Amino acid sequence: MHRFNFVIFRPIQMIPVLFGISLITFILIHSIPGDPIRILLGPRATQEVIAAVHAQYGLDKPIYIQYGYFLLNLTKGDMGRSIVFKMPVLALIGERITATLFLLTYGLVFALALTLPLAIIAAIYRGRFPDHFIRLVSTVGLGFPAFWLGIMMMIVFSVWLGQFPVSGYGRTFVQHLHHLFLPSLTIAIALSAVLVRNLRASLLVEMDSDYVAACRAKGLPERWIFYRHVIRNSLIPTINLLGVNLGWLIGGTVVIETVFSVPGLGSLLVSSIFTRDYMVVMAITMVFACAIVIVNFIVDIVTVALDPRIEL
Amino acid sequence: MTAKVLEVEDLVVTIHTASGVLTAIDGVSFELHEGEVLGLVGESGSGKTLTGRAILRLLPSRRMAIQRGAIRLNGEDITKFDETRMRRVRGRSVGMIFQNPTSHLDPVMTVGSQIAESIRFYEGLPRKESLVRAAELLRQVDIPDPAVRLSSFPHEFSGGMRQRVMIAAALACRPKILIADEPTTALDVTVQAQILRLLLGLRERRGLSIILVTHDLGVVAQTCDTVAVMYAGRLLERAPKRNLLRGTLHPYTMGLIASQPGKGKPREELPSIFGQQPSLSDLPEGCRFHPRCDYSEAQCRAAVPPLEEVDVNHQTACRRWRELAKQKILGAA
Ligand SMILES: Nc1ncnc2c1ncn2[C@@H]1O[C@H](COP(=O)(O)OP(=O)(O)OP(=O)(O)O)[C@@H](O)[C@H]1O
Ligand SMILES: [Mg+2]
Repeated sequence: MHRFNFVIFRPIQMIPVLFGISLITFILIHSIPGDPIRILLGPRATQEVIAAVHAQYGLDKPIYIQYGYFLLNLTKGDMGRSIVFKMPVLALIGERITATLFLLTYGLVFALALTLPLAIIAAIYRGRFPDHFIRLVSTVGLGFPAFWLGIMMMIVFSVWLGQFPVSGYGRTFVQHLHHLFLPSLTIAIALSAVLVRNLRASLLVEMDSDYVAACRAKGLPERWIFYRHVIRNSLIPTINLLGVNLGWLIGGTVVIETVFSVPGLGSLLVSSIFTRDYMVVMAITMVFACAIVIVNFIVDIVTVALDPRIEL
Repeated sequence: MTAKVLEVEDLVVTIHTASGVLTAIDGVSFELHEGEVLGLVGESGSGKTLTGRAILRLLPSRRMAIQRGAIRLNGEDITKFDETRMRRVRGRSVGMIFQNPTSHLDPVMTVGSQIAESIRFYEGLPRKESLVRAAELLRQVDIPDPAVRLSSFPHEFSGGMRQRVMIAAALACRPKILIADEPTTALDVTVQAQILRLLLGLRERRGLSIILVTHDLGVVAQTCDTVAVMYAGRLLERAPKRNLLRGTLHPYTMGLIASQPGKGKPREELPSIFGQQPSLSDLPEGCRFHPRCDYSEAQCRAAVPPLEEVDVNHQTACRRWRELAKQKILGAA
């Protein structure tokens, strides 16, 4: 199966890309004015104490030496220590990553559960009321920024109706589902608005295609043709669009988690930038970069599996 | 004569457009006998494809409808069938193949599954057994290594092989009639000849009757038994191939024959019929061909010429055929 050879080579090709991302992030974060130790110790700390703590974290060294240490530690599977939380960065990320993963998966499943039926109904009822209605709703969904939608839903469902908690993540699986319902719905609406229109359009193109006419001439019923031919062909462009949007969404968790106070990586990234917790920012940026790379990788595998014509 | 398997009588197909109702097929009648290859010829836009698709009740647009006429399959008028009964006609009594095999095959499904799917659906055979049948069909359309090729995708085949695959898929449920809509137009000449030979072979082996839609009289000369000539939605002439090619009784057919590149006149400029086929929204009165006809007279403009039985099996829709034949313009030399 040489069409799937890229599954082996792509990860190797990605190493220099991730290396570049780490370098750029390192330079960027160190060029923001401000000092994590000063922020941490407060205005009354003496020069000597500050210098001592600097030395403890290696912050007194020139930036290229610091980056060298970062890389050296990375090869040992160590991402340094958080200045603010006073614990290894990896352990901190381990604590926070589940909420983010849960939120993203929940949002994605939700988005697909909305997109597939809505797009199929719109395509089947092309030009009639259900189609117009679904297209109108998805246009409206496109028009609102996700964070605004999130805040509005929080006001209505959590504050007025008291149906959902306004923050946190819960402890059990069911509590997770309950706590993260509104944030994942926010994600799902933002995603579905884009995907429904795209999938509807490609369903319509495929429903009009020649191979559908040939299937009818073979005596196959419409349902059979739709579920065995049309959907699969239509999903190919939509899966690619989903890949692009998931990359965008991984960054978007920063906003969603902040709005809904979800204890995930996104909200941790924001607070760590404010406290100049260098190593945490570095680590989360790398995690997000890897996640985007992995998502694109998965999308490529799915595309190649769906479309035999594609070779990567 | 062998049994009549299909009879189209006074078929009228209309198209609803914003500017009114157009008549795309206007009173077409012909019949197809067991084992016969009927060539349906005419210029682009004359309604050949529409006629073929009307027989399967698969008109390309929802704005089209069979307005009138009967399509009798073994004596039963299928224009009266509901959609469920009609589906059982498609693929099982009448199969169809198309001009562009590439776009008429699902690009993401293996050819084996595409050939086998109607067998699976109609005979309820499990996947494995239906694929065995598919391999047998691929062998019958002369695809080498059929068992291996089952799992290939359409893009892994050449154009000619794709057309063979489409033929195999159309014949999977053993229809007795095949409508072939310009099956060789997209292929190069050598492959064209192979496909036509394959169709003739299948006719022998399966007792297939074929409606071969084409605009190429060379193809007609090689393969057909009888020919029906269409022009602007009407039938102008119908005859056994020999009678038609040697002694046509319609000036339009004469023009078509003269404009074919032949062996005798290699460098000479080809004569062509001047002008263009009229558009459906602006059809001339009387004979639709009269504005382009060198021999038209007042009577041709006045009324629609009926399809007149000249001879057994030879019909023409020209009012002047007798005169023109006498002047040795039409008819056998
Ligand atoms: N989907 C459609 N909508 C509107 N008009 C159509 C449609 N398909 C065909 N027609 C019209 O119907 C008439 C007959 O078309 P048809 O496709 O049967 O021609 P044809 O003889 O098969 O030509 P060709 O050799 O180009 O395939 C033409 O005038 C064409 O413009
Ligand atoms: Mg055509």
